[in-house]
Amino acid sequence: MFEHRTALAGRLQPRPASPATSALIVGEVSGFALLQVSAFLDSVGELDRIVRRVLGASLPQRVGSTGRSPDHHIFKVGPEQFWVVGPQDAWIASLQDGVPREIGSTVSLSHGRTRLFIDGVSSRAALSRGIALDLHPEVFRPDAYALTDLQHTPVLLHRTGQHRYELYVLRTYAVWVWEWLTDAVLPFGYAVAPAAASASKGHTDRE
Amino acid sequence: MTPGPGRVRAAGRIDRDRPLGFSLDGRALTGYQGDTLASALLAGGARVIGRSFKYHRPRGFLTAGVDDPNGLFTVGEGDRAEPNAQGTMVELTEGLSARSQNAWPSVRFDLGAVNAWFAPLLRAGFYYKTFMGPTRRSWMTYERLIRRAAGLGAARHEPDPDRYETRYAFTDVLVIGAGPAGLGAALAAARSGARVMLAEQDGLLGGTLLADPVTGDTEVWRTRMEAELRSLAGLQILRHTTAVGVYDGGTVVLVTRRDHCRPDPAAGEALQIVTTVRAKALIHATGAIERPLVFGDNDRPGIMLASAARAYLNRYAVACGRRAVVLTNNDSAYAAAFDLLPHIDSVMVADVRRDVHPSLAAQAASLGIEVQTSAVVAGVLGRAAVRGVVLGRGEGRSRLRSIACDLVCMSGGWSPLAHLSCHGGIKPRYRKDRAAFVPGGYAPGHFGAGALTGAFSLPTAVEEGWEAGHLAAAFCGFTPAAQGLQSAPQAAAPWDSDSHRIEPVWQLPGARAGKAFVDFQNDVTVRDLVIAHQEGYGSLEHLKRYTTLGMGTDQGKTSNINALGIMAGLRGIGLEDAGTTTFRPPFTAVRVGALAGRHVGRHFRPMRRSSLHDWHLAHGAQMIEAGPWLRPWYYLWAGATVERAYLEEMRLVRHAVGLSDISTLGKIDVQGPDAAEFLDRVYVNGFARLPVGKARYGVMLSDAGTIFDDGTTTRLADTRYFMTTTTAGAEEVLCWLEFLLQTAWPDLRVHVTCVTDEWAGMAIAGPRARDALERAFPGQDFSNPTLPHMGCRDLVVGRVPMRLIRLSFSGELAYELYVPAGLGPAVWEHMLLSGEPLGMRPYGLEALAALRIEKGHIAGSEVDPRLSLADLGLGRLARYEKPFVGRELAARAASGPERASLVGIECLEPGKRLRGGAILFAAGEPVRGHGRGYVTSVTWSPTLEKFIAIGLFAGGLDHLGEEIVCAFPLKGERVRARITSPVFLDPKGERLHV
Repeated sequence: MFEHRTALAGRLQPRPASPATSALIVGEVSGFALLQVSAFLDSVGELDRIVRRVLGASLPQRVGSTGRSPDHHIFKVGPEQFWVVGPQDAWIASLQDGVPREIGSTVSLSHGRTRLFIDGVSSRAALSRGIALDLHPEVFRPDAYALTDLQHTPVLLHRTGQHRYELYVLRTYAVWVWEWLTDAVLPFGYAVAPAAASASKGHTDRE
Repeated sequence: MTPGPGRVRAAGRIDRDRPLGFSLDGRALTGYQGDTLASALLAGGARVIGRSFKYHRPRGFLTAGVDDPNGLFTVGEGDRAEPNAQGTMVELTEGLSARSQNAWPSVRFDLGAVNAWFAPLLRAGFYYKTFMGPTRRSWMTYERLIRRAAGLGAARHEPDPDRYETRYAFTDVLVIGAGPAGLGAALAAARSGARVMLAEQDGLLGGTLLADPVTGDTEVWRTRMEAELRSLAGLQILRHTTAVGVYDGGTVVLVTRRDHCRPDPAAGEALQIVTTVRAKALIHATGAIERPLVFGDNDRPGIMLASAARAYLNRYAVACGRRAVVLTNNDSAYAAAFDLLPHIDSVMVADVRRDVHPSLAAQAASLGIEVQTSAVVAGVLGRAAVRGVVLGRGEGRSRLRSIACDLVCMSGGWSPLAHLSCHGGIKPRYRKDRAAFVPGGYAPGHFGAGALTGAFSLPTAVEEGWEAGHLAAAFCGFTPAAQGLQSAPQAAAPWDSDSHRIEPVWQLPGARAGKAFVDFQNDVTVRDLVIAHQEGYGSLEHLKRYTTLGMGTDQGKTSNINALGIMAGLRGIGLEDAGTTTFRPPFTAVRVGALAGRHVGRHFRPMRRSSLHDWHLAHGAQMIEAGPWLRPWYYLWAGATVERAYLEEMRLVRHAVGLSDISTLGKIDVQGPDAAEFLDRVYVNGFARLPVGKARYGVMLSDAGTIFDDGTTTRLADTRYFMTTTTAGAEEVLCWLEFLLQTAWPDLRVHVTCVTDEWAGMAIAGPRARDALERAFPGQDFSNPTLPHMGCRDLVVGRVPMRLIRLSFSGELAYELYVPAGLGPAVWEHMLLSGEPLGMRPYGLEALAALRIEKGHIAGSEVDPRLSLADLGLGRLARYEKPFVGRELAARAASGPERASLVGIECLEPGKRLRGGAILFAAGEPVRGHGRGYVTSVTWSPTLEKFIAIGLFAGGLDHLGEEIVCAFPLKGERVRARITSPVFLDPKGERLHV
C-alpha cells in the first residue's frame, strides 16, 4: 500500500562508467535492517548470550572491530550499545522480542540511516577529502569501522573490502553527504550504481 | 624564437625545445618550459618589474625564490586574476598573462614616484603623527587616500571559478624540504620501513642544489637520490607543496599549488589543495635563505642576492647583467662570481672583510677576478637600474672609485628558515658562529637538519639529514636500515665549508640611512629604525608594528634579521639578547579559497532534509532555512508571496484541515525500567503517573534553573516513552540526557536514542482533522473516547506501523502522525489524496508559527535560557515536591516583581504593524534605553484582523489592559499597543476537544 522511498530516491542516476583506471563506483545499499540493541551496565553478558542465540554472532568487545555472522554485522557504537545490520527478515522480531526489558532495549533505526558505498582503487584517496582517519590498509584493515565525522555530520565508516567502504549516514543528511561524495569522486571519474543492483546482505567483500 | 638578451648558453634546467608565450601588461613575451615568470622576464632584459609600496621606487627582483619582496604581479585575467603573486614562484605556462601592480601609467614611468619627494615626511609612524585632525572622523578620509597611494594588487570581486580541496593525510615521518638534508632524511626514514611524506615547495627536488650547475657533481648525486627515493613504495613525494603551519600533535598544514597544471574545475581538478597531515615524527629540513646587505640605494634594480644571480644563471640560463660586482661579507657569494664569469663580460668581488681565505683568493686570482677587501659602498649609480657602484676601502672610505656594472650580487650571510620550528612557541636561538638564528629546540618527535641548524656545507647537511631520518624512524618504532648513505657527496668547493667564514655586518659603513632599505616590500629604511629607536620602540615587537617592518606579504623573510642586527646595535646589546619577533602561520600566503576548500556553494554547510523534502519541492513549496533544516515556508497554492500565502494557509487550518511536515521535531526514544523516574527528574512536571497511551507537555530546566527545552512526551508502555523536543534543541537535549545518565545517574536503567531521522512526522490540523483521518484510514476509530485530546494510538496500516498522537500546536483539533521515514512520502500523499474532498492542503512554517502565536504557545523565540518558568507563565506546571534538574535554582530565578514575563500584545493603530524585537515602553514614558521588555514573536492575525504579538514585559500580566508603546528604532517606528493575555484564541481550549 505504501511504497518505501530512500533518501536518495531520484538522485541515483546511473552514469556511464569512467574509462579512467582510477574510476570509482558509488551508490546506495538498500534493503537492509538496522536494529540498535543496548544492555544495561551489568547485563552485557546476558545480551551477548541472547544475540549469539538469535544471530550466531557475538557482540564485539570494543569499538572498531565488528562481530559477524554470515548475514550480519555487529558494530559497537557506544557504551553497552550495538548496531546489528542484516537483511530484512525474521531476525529483527526475534531480537526485539528476545531482549527482556530488564536486560536492555532495542530500537529500529532502519529508516533513520542511509547506507552509501564507494568502491574502487581510489576510494581511500577520495574519502581522505573529508574523513580525518588514517585509512592505510595496515591501520584501517578490511572489516574495520569507525564512528567519525564527515562534513560536520556523524557517520559510521565500515571498510568492507580492499577498496570498498560503506558509510552509514543520518537519513536527513543523506543528500548532503551524497552531494559531497559525488563531488569528492569527480576527479577520479565515477559511475553511480543503480539502486537495485547495490543491495547487499552485509557480506564483507574480501578481495 | 630568439633567446632574450639575458639568456646564456649555460645548460640550465629549462627546456629550450618548448618555448612558451606569455604577456606582461599586454606585451607579448616568450620564455621556456622550466622558467618562472621572473626568470623569463629577466631573460628578456627586464630590470624594473615593480614599484615599491610607499615611495614607488623602481624595483627589480631581489631573490629567485619564496622570499622575494619586490616582484609581485597580478597573474591571470578576469575572475581568475590573482593579485600579489610572486614572479619568482609563478611557473611559466603557455598564455600566462601578468600585470604589474602599484604603478601608473607604467612601472617604468610611475607618477606615484612623486611620493619619494616627500620621503622625509613619510617616515616611520608618519600617519600616527600627521593624520590626527582636525576632526575625529578625518582619518576615514585620509585612510582612503593613503590606501590609494600605497598598496599592492587589488582583489577581484567575481566568484572564484577554480576548485580548491582540503584533504587529510597520515604518515609516520613527514620531511619538510627536499634540499640535501631533506633528501637524506627521507631516504633514511623510508629505508627503515616507515611511511614517509616528503614535502617540497619547489617543483623539483634538490633545494639549493638546483642553483648548482647541472653539469656538476652535485647534480649527479641529486638525480641518484631522487631516483632512489622514487623507487621506495613507502615514500610519498609532494612537489609544489609548502608547509605553511606546524601545530600541536604533529599536525602540519600543507598547501599544494597546481596552478602550472591549468586544472579544469569542471573535471574536478583542484587549483590548490590544503592537506592536514598528522605525522608521528617531523623532520624540519627547510634550509636557509640569503639575506641582503644594507647600504644606500641597495634597492636599485640590478642589485640582487648573490644566490639569486647564481640560481638564475645555473637553473634558468639567465645572466642578470653583463658586468657584475659581487658584494659580500662571507665566502658563499664567491660561488656566484666563479659561476658567472664564463658567461658575462666581467666580475669583481668587493668583500667587506679584511681577510679572505687563501683558497678563495687563489681561485679568484686564477680566474682573473679582482677581489677588493675591506670594501665599503659609498654610493650606487643609476636610478631605474644600477649603472655602477662607488667603492671605498675601510672606515675612512679612502680611495673611492666607481665601478661600472649592471649587476650587483650581494650577500649578507644566510638565515635559516626556522619559522616552522617556532610555530609551536619555541623561540629560536642566536648562533654566533653562523651569525644566524637557528631553532631553539624541537617539540618531541621533531628533528632538524641541514642549513636550518647552521649546517651550511653540503656533506654536513646530508649527514644531519640522514641522522634525523634515523631518529625520526626510531621515534616511530622502526629500526634503521643497516644500509648506509653510500653516495654522500663531498664538499664541492672552497666556500662549501663547515667553518662558514662570515663577518656579520648589519649595516655597511657609510650607508645613506635614508635610502638604505631593510624591508624592501614595506619601504622601511635604516632611518626608520633609528626613528623608532629614538621614540622608544626598542622592543622588536613594537618596532615591527611601528615601522611595518616584516608586515608585508613576504613577512620580512629578507629583512627581519638585518633589522634585528641594526636595532641591537642601536640599543648596544647583542643579537642573542634582542630576541626575535613571533613566527606564526602561514609561512607563505595562502589563498582564502584553498582554506575554504569544497565548503562553497551547496557544500557550504550541512543541510538537513526531511523525508518529504522532494515532495515539497515538487509541489510548490518555497523553502526556508531553519537551523540546519530546509523547511517549507509556504506553498504556492496559497499565494505567490509569503504575506498572502500564510494567511490563506491559516484560514485553511482554522476552517477546514491542513497538513504540515513536522519531521524536524527532535524525537527521542526513552526505554528502561527506570524511564518514568528518569523523566520525573528531567522534567519539572511529573511523568511517572502518566497513563500508557497518554501524552503530556513538559518543560526541562538547565541546572541553572532556567528554561532549557520543552515538548511533549508520550507513554507508549510502562517502560517506554516517546519524547519530542524543539527542532532547535534536539541535539542538545539528547546530549544532556546522555550526560545525566552516564555521569549523574548511572544507576538508572534507562536508554535514550535519537529517532529524529527514523520517523517522519506530519500534523493534521483543523476542525476537519478527524474527518481526514477517518477518510485516510477507514475502519479505524478516532472518536473522543478512543483518542481524546493528549491521547496516543499505535496503528498498523498495510503492515506499516504508525503512531498517532492527538496534540495541537495551532489551537485546533489536531493530530501528529509519525510513520517510518522511508514511508513518509507515501503516507503524506495518501493523506492529501484522501483529504482532498475536505479541501486538505499542505501548510508551511510561516502559517505554523502564526497559528501558534494566536494560541499563545511558546516556541524557539521564547524558550530562552535567560528565562524562568514563572517568566513564561509556566510556574504552576512544576511539581516541587519531587526532585528535578534545576529545582533549587528555579525558585531563585523566579524572584522579583519587575522581572519581564510573558504577555500578549495587540496593536492599537490600524495601518501600523508590530515588529519582532521591538522594544516596549509604558505609554508616556520616554523612548530611551532598553525599555521594559521586547516582542519575541509577531504576526498578523486573520482571526482578530490586527497585528498581535507575544513578548516579555516587566511585571507581565500585572499590567493587563495597559497601553504601551512598541518602539522599533531601526526604522524609527513607534506603535501604540495594549497588554493582553498571550492566548488570543480559544482561551478555554474548546476547539481542542471537539
